[in-house]
Amino acid sequence: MPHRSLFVVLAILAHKPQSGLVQEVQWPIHTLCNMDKLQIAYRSCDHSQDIGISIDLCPATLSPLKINVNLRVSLLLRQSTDELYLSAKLILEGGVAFQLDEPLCQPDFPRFTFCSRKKGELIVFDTPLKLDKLKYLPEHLNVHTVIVNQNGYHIACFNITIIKR
Amino acid sequence: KTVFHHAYYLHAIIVLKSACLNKGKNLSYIPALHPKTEYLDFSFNNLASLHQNLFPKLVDLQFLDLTRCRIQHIAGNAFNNVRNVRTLVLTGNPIEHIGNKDLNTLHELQKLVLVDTGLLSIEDLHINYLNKLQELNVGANQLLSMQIPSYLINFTDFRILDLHANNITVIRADDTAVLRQIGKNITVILNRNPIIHIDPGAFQNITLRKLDLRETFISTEVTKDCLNALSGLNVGNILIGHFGRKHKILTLDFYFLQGLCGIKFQEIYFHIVERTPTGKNNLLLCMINATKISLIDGELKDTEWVQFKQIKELYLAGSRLENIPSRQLSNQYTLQKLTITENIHPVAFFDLMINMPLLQYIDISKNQLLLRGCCHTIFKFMPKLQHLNMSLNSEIQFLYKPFQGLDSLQVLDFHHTKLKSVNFNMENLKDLMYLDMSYSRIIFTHEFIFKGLGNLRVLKIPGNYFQGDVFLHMFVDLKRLEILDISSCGIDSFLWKSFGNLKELRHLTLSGNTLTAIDFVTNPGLAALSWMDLSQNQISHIAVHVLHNLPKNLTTFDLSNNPIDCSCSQSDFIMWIMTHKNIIKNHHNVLCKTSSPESSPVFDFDLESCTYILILNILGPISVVILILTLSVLAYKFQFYLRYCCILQRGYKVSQQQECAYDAFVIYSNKDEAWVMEELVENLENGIPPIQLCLHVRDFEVGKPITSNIIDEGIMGSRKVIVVVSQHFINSAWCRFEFEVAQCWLVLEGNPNIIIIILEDVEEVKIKKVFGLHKYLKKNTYLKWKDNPISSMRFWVRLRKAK
Repeated sequence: MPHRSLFVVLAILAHKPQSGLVQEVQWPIHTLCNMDKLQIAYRSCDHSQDIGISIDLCPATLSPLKINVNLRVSLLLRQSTDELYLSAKLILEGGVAFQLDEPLCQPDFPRFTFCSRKKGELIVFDTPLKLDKLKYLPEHLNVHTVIVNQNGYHIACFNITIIKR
Repeated sequence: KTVFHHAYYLHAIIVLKSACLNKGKNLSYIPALHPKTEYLDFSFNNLASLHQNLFPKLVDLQFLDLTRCRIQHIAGNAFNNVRNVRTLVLTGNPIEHIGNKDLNTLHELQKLVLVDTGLLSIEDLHINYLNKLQELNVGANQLLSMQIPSYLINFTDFRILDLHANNITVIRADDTAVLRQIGKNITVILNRNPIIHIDPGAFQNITLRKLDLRETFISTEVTKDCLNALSGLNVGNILIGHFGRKHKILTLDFYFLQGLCGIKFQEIYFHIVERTPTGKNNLLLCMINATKISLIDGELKDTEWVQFKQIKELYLAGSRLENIPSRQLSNQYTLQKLTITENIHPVAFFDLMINMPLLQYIDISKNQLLLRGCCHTIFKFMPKLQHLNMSLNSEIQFLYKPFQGLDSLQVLDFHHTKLKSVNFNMENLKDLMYLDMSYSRIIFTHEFIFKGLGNLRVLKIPGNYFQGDVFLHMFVDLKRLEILDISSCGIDSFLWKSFGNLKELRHLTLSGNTLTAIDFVTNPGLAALSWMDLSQNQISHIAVHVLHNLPKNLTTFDLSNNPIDCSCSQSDFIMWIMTHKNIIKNHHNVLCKTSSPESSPVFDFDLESCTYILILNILGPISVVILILTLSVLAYKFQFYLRYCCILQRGYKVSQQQECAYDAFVIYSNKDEAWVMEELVENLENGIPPIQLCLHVRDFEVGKPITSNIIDEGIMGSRKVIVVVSQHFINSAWCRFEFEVAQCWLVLEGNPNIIIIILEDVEEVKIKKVFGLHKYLKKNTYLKWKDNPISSMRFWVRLRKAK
């Protein structure tokens, strides 16, 4: 069961982009959950590398129960993370429904283990995640997430697609 | 040439002394570089092994980054050509073996980074001759102990040892022996090692500048033991606890922090996730001597407070407080900087903080604070208060003079906190430099609100409301203001005088209003303005005189998201935008107003089309005028012909219905009347058969215009036309006219009905004066009158025959 294995494949080195200067790389779509009621998939929009995201459990139903899952994000740093800022856009069919901007790492207050890391380091970030009120999810939701560092460099970029049935 | 050849593959190549980037293009060799290159970032390539000839000779190279180049082998003399490198980064390379000579050749090396290289021990690095080394980062390897090679004692400048995320589980007393001998302020980073044991006394008498132990101890019990074992340590800054948002850990034994009391530290950063079931704890007990305390998520609601001895900075975030601990903080007379922020539940502020003579900085933002009667009553015991941040709270009600007595204030921040006050006065804040009241839902009704703020440099009041003419004098006193933000206030106009006194204003933000005109920026008082944001207003055009009088120093001008009128009537404005592209910010969003949802950028507007339209607009009327003039002149000149053409046209229509009343119309000059009456009329009308002639003297209808008579009676009413050509005929305008009409008629009818009688010889030159006569005479047979009986007999016979 792929979603139970917490197995993250980093395809970074295997999927080296070719030497073209402006070539757009389409990273493969990775499936996080593929249940009857809920499908979650993501794709990296970082031109230089793929990203590994996994959760250890997928909800089988959308009934009101809360479930706690563990989320794991893995990626290779191409720049240091002295400061990190997350910007996420929730995109419904009509357009951007909500935008979230959140500082993740600030010079004095590194909130996460991946703060203050240097270029070339491999980040494996585990965090508990509470999945709640799944039945209120819209049928088709896209989340476009960009994480930039102190120099405005894209540390991570990925699109998550959630389809409810 | 070589350089340019490679440039194709390279991310960027700047062949200067200072920088050279060769990142991430999967190169397996190092291309030719400028021999003076000082900085080489070659990360994310594919080198596999570092051999002797890999690097070109770069004697000035100081920084060499080989992050993730898949380097497995380093040959002994690999760095020979770059031996003056001061910073070497080898992060993320699966280096199998580092020989004795590999790194030791780099005598100038100051910083060595070997994160995630599979290193098993620092000894394996063989760096015993790198006497100038200051920083060694061997994080994310597989080190099992923090044992440090003894030669580090000789590295006189050594400062930082980074051992983060290794597999260090135990710290033995022996491991720290070298650290003790180094005996100076170095930084040791041990975070994210799974430590379960530290030998008690291992850090006895060790002095460190900084010790990072975050996410290091695997359980509360281990934390307790290890903190106890750290006793005797003297450290400038200690970082313990956790990173980020973790599940809370419940513990019954809150004395697990007791060990901190045995450690001598000046500054502490502690992100604590442990909780006691009752909420009671003694978190602050061992921090009594600290000068700076940063506590993240520490539950302080029921904690035992202490009287700090030398505290200067206190930062408490997410402390689950119900009240601002005013009583507990009172008498902390050494405190200079206080931050209490990010409380989840609303915080109350009842008590006064007293006896805080040195306090300069208070940040109580993000606490859902609800405060009545702010502010001098609350902060009156802080005479040195310079910085007050109460932003992102719920609601604050100002007194009439809210900052009375707080004359030292330099920074005031109330953004996104609802400020309830109709009228307040800040006149006493002579030193205030920064005032942020963004989105505070203030209704500004009186214009002297910023009176007396002569030192203010930054004023932010977006997202508020303004009533009446408050802008007339609102900014009069702000003579030193440099930055002013009044965006999103729904303002539709400013007075020309509004900003006249802001002689030092550099940034003016007016976005998100409903401005349509910006005449106020031409006020000469705004001479220093360099940056102006007018985005998201209702500006459709800016008059030319305004554009010409914009502040001279303007370097950034944002006109994005305005409904700009892209019609040729505004071509001056559009032309100005295009020629000032260097100062126009957000090019792509400077849009033309269109009815369709897709707006096009102003910069795509085709101004040339306007030039054509302009030319057409000018030339069109001129040509029309010229044409009319020409036509008028022509019409005047040929009015005669026009008229008879008209008449002819009418007559032609009539003639088709009516019968001819006469046999012949005689065209003759009055001066030849004698001949006509005596000879022509006599011979034709009185002869047999009689031929009815039409003579103008006799047959023209009285009262009708002559031209109508000519047409109706003469030409139309007669079957033939007899033209009596003589000297007088040539001279008579009427005769010529009649002849021309007759010719036209001839053309229309298509049969030869004109009979010409030459009464007397006329010179050919004169004949030519009569239109068509000369031609007619040449082409047609005519009669010539001769005054002798035989000739006249023949003449009459021929004339009759012609009938």
